[in-house]
Parts: sequence; C-alpha cells; structure tokens
Amino acid sequence: MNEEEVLAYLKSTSEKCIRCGFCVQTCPSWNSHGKLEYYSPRARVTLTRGMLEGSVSPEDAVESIYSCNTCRRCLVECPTGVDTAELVIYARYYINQKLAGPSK
Amino acid sequence: MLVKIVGKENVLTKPEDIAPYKRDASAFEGETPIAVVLPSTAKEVSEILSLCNENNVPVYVRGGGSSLTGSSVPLGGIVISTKRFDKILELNITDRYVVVEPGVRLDDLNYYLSKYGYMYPPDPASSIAATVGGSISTNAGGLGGVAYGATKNWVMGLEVVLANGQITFFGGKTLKRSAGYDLASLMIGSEGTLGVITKAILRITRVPESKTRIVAYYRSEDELGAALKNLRDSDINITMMEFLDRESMESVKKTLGIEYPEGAEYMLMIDVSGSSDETKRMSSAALQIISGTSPITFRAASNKAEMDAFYSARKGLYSSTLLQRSSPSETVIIGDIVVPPTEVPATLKEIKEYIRSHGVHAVLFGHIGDGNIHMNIFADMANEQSKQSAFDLLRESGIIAVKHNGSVSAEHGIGMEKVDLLIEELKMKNASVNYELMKAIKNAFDPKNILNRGKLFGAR
Repeated sequence: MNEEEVLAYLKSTSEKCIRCGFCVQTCPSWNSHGKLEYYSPRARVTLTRGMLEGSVSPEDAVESIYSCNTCRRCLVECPTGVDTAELVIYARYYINQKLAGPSK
Repeated sequence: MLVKIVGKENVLTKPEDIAPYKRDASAFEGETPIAVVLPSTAKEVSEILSLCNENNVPVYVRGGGSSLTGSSVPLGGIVISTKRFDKILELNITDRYVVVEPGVRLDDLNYYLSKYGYMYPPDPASSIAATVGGSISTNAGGLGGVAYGATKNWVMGLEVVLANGQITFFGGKTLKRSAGYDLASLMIGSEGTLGVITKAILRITRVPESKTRIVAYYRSEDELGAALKNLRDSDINITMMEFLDRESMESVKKTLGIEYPEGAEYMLMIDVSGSSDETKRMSSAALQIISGTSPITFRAASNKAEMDAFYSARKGLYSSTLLQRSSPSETVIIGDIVVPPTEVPATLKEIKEYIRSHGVHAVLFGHIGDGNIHMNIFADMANEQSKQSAFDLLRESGIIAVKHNGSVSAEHGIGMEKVDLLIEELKMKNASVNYELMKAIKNAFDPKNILNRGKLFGAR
C-alpha cells in the first residue's frame, strides 16, 4: 500500500465501526490497563478516525495504538468485521509517518 | 476536588483519554466532558454528586456504552464510569437473588450464575457489552422476553445515590412488597435521570433443563400472525419467539450461508423449554400447531449443532445486515417499537407498505412473541435526504405502533433519539399530562437537572 492507500484503508475501516462495544471486554490489553476505554479496540478505531479527521493528534493516539497486541480476539466479536489488529498496524505506519517513533 | 475523592489515577482529563467516552452505539456524538471519573464505592459517588450538584455540573453515567438511543452520550459535564463497580457481592439461591454492582456485564453475571444452574433472564443482544446498571436504566429486554418479560420483572432492590449525594435504598430482598410508592420500579427505565445506581438486588431463576428449537417459514403476515396466536393460545412454555423478514433472511443467507425456502417472506423461530419430558411433549404439540398454520416448511432442530445454526441466523442478524451497508459511512438506525402480539400482523403490513412506498432501505426482525418489532434502517448520515428518510420511517413506525395500542420504545429507551416520539405517543393517548408528571418527578429527584441532562426531556 502506498500512503494514499493506507489513508483510504484507515478511513473505510474505521468508518465500519458502529461503537457497539462488543470488542471491549475481549481485549487483553484493555484488561491489563485498568479496563480504561482508551486501551480498548473501540477506542483504537475511534482515535484512528479522530487522527484522520484532525480532532486527535498522533501523539495522543500513540499509546492506545501501540498497546494493542494484535491478538484479534476483538475481531471474533465484531458484528461488522472490523479487524482492529490490521487497522492498528496501518495506524502505526501512519503515526510513524507523522512522528519520529512510537514513544511520545 | 475530584482527585481528592477518587484519587488521581481515577480521574481522566487528557483529551485522548476522554475522547472514547464521547460516543456510544447510537448515531449521536456528544460534547467532550470535563473529566471521566472512575469511582468504586457509593460513598465516592455520593461525594462526586454532592460536588457536582453544588456547582451545577451535569453528570453522565456510563456502563458498557452500548446504548442505541444516545442515553450514555455526555453533553459536556463529567462522566461517571461504572467500570470499577464490577463485583458480584452475594448469591442467595434459597431466596432467589443475586446482589451485584452496576458495572457487571450481563454475560459475566450469567456465566457466574450458570455454574449454579441459575440465570438472570434479561438478555439484550448486546449482553457481552451491556452492564447491569445500563440495562436497568433502559429496562432492557431481549430474546427471552416472551417468557421472562423485561428487566423490570427482575429487579428487587436498588442502592441509589441521589443528585444531592444522599445514599438511599429502594425495594429490598423480598419478592413481595407493598409499602408505599415502588421507587425501585421508578428507577427502571429512567435512563440515569433520577439517580446513580450503585448496587442491585436481582431475581434469578433456574436454567431450563431442556430446550427444543423449531423454525417455520411463512408467505405472509397473516400466516405468521396465525402461528403466533395459536402458539400463544396453547399451554406450551415458549421461551423465545423471534421473526425475520425476507430481507433479513437474505442478509443471513449472504453472510452466514443459511438458506430459506423460495416464497418465504417470514421466518419464525421458537424455543420450547422445560424438563426433558415436558419439552418433548410440548415441542410435539408446537409442531402440530405450526403444521396447521400453512407454513412453507417447518422443522425442529435435531441436535445442538442445528439448534445453534438456527440461532446464529437470529443472533447474527445484526452483523449480517450491517455487512449489507452500501458504504462504510452508512449508519444503521435501530427501531424498537412494541405492540400487543395480536396486533403484530397489521403493524408489520403498515410498516412494510410505508417502506415500499417511500423507498427506504430497512429490514424488520424482532421478538414477535412479546410484540417487539425491530428495524434496521440504513442511513447515510452525510446525505441529508437519506438521514431524513430514515428518521421519518423511525417516526412513522412509532406512530403506527401507538395506533395499534403499542409504544414507540420497547427496550432501548428514549435517550436523545425519541424525545419527540415520546411526546407524540402521550399526545395520541390523551395522556400528555404524563410528561408533566415525569418532569415533576425529575424535579423532585434532581431539581438542578444535573443527571443525564438533555436526555428523556430533550431541552437542556
């Protein structure tokens, strides 16, 4: 994927999310981060969308995006088939384009 | 001040931390709250409410964030997340209750109860995400509604923190109670506008020993209605009675590969439950009744795998229809009307006719046994005309339901979505005074209107 395709992929994938929250409690990262919404798959999708729309900075999303261990347990429960693990991989690429690296 | 009450680690103020709390599963986007607070005791909630009440700061309580009507979307103010209220405190099988905190998720509660052969019956399709507190606040129902009713039938008592911070208790650990106004019931379906639930005493019941699942396909609303009537008129213990329309079946066929016979407009699916002997006798009786209602085909599942396959057609319907969206930006708005079961055929006909004549993309399904009809209405929120058509259908279906002695909401609540429809329903029933009574109750509980401001009553 080139940069344009990554942006298109992130946009279309994040728009598929209906925010039902079925993914949240399946997420081991959410579980190990005090069950804070920021570390949930739903938040990763919301923050990715926010980055693309300009309402969230890459710096603000980085910790959530990098805390995903890409296990795909969330995908099993997602009614619209959002593959958050895959989205996260491309979101990391996007963030890396914007920032120097993964750490704040 | 909030930090002093719950500790620094339990107050979120960074924009990135609070951004995910701005939305729930509805189409509404809220306003960024000042903070998200994560208390874990009634005392902490009490201190937070006392502080907010004194300073006129709105408070929005959030459980699983799975509301379909915007009832958990904040409009500024602060958010109280119940996620640390996640403990099951007491189980009393003899007295048939369980005491839980409001942040316990329904699936987790039922997993715990299943180890003892018991269950808490309200089972909304969102039970993996929905919490006890949220489901009480919206009077959630679910697939078992035909036998078990809604949440209101299963709540015995509630610990509640009032808007001024006072901690009180409504109801108790007894099934029977006749001691003044039933304030526990008043809390159910109040959508967080009257108080914050910090503990709940819930009724439990035994998981049925045995279950048989039967499906039948029909050509028309009248045939479907005849099956509904004859089954409900019998002594058969039906614990689930669902329907899918042809568009729903088509979605399921495309995504899950579950076929349906040619000419079928509706699928009916029922569960018959009881002891092994009872289930055997009753499923045989149900098959006999269904055979007399001119189905295209019908049959009972012969084993668990087949039962699960049938069930996945219904349980997987939400995702199946969502996968039919023409573009990812298309949103699904979910209708939630209810009518007396005998009015279902006529109601379905009228809604179908509206959908046909207005060219709206919508599929119908739901808990037909208790008269609850859901609709997935597809709307491109970026397209004003598409959005308007969807909300017009939502409104029209509500009016049709009221004309058939039903209501604009069965189990999702009013939230931000159906305030006008609620007012319209009361007007149509010559009961507009009820809205004034509701406002008076709200004023008695929360005179400064800090709790879930902007919901149920609209104007902030």
